[in-house]
Amino acid sequence: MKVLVKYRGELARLAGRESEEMEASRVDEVLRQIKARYGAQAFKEAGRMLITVDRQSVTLLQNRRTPLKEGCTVAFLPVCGGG
Amino acid sequence: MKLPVYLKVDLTTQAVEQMPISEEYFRLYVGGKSLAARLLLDLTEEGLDPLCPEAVCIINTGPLTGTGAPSTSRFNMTFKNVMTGGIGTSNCGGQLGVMLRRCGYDGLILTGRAEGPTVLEITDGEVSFRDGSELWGLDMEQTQQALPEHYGKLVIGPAGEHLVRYASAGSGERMAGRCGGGAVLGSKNLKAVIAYGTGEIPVARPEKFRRYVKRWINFTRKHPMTGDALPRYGSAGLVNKANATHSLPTHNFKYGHFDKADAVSGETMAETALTRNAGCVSCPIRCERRVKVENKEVKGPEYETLGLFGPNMDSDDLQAVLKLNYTCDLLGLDTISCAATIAFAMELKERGMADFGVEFGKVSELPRVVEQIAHREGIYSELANGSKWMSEKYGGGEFAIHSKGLELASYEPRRSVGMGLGYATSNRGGCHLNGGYVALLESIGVLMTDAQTTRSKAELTVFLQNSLESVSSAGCCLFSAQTFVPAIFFKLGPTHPVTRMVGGALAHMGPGVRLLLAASRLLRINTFYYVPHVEGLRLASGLPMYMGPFMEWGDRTFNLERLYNLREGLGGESDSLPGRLTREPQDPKRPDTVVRLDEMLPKYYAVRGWSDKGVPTEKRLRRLKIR
Ligand code: SF4
Repeated sequence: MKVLVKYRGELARLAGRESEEMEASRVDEVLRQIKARYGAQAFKEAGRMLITVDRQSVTLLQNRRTPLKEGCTVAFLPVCGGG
Repeated sequence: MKLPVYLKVDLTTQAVEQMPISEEYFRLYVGGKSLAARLLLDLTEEGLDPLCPEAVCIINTGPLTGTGAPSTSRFNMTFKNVMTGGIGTSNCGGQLGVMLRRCGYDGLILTGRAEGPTVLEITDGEVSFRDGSELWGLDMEQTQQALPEHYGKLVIGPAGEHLVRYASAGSGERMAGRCGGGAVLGSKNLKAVIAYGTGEIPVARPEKFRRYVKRWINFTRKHPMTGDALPRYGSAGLVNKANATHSLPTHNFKYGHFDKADAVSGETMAETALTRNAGCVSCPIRCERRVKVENKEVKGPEYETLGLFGPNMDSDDLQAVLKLNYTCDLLGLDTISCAATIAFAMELKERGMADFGVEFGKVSELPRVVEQIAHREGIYSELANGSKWMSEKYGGGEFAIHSKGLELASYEPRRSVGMGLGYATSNRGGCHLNGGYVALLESIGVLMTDAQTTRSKAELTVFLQNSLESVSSAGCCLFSAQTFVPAIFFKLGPTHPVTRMVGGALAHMGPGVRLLLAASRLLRINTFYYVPHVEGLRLASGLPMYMGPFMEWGDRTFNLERLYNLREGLGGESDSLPGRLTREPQDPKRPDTVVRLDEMLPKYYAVRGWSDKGVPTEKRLRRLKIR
């Protein structure tokens, strides 16, 4: 499955890019590929970010096991706060 | 133990008198919004018009204000809420509170109405009244520039002068935004309060306090929320987060998700418009965004403003939001109520019920509309009264998004039902902070409990409402309370199994939280890593302040505010939300995406020790030492 992966914040810096295409059928596969391409630190950073699939938080889907569809967008966003 | 001293100022007669606070009141109510609620109840008659000369406005500080502890440049405004008729409070940064304390005063009690535009000046022990005629009509920025440098200031803009019901007051670039405090000052012909003092701010145990503050600052800097996320993105970072959990109000709260939200997100703002971050005095968090608007560097918008002037109007125009935010700040308008009222007018137009020339998706003309609202020009004078007033005239109560008359902040409660309960029960009306900000544990934080279940939401809401009351009353910024969530969960991230397990468990913690609330009095310990504010407050004030008394103090404050509301006619029936949120599921395929207030309110009243009509029982009030 070809998907678009978008990086924000510190992860974009570690990956040296803001987006790229990947072959993956689940969110955890994307995470594994991040580790393989950009190393353990990038993997750690990605793991603690808010992950969305087509702008939906994976926490509302199946977390890291969320299946991906052809052409979907997986985004890694910083966890923020406010008030 | 040094007891607070307030200054009572009658603007009609220009009589000024010192008012020492009794030890009993200091021990029970300490300062900030807590003590102010007590004084407002004591000093005012029932049923006053919030804008009449007899109305009282209290500007006060907490024992931590100006002490150098993290995020403690704060002061509070308390008055009769112009939007709701109940209690109105607003916690504000800027220098005024610090300078007041340096003048030897912990608070001001303002009453009366000056004959003409006036500036109240306090310089060390001296109080004077200056003619403010030349400042009348100036915007917030011009007004502050025309006043002496180095003074702490609180000023109003044209909106306050024209008694716009949601007019704000500003100190530097920080706003006492909500509830219409700007209109209250405007009704008193008070254009500005300025203070300059050279005295020392008293601290009960200075040596220990100094060492403690050092540790507290380090802790704040190291915590992922206050040391990284807030400095990096400010609250604006919540746009994408709220969108991802369907809790980003869109199209006047009809939906909770906006496909183009990223265009107005904190990340996009950081990449395209941010010049630097900045902050209030003595704040290591520095959450303020500086952005460019028409080639001028100005304060950037908070999340609530981005959400309500952006997706809630179907707009993805970041530049327009930046400009609207700045325009509102200059004019002295609360961005939340202003944007929400305009969105309501947009829906009125869409349904053919009224036409104010505003339409969803079209925001380029809004700065002009906002100007007209602030000056109450023509038909826009009606928008200056807020969405409740408008719905009473034109209909549409089902989709006028307010509680008690105050517009809701930018958290869609149908995907954060505890936040819905908080909005409905918040004493100042539709406020997320006074409502306990349960959204942080449901839809926008790192620890996410089930956002749709009503289980444990009453207990969590009460616990958080009480805690935030105390943090604010102590003289702290509420952002500093974001260290409540342990750093470990940010390190693990929201999808980590441990974070998910703990988040999930929160929905089962109701009985435990209830026990904690009931036994809070016995908790005579302070733990640095949970709420560092408590020990700081103990060392600064000399009061025997521990976790338990701190929580009980918040409970006392919340009940006191409730008593004020009840006296002014806001009882259980006002703990409500518009029909859109309680009856229309956000997702038509999921009937659980509504706020089931009818289920949560009885539990909430029971946890609070109130009657089934939402009235604090005598027993409860005696236990809290209010009676
Ligand atoms: S966290 Fe932000 S608003 Fe609060 S005191 Fe610090 S800079 Fe000011």
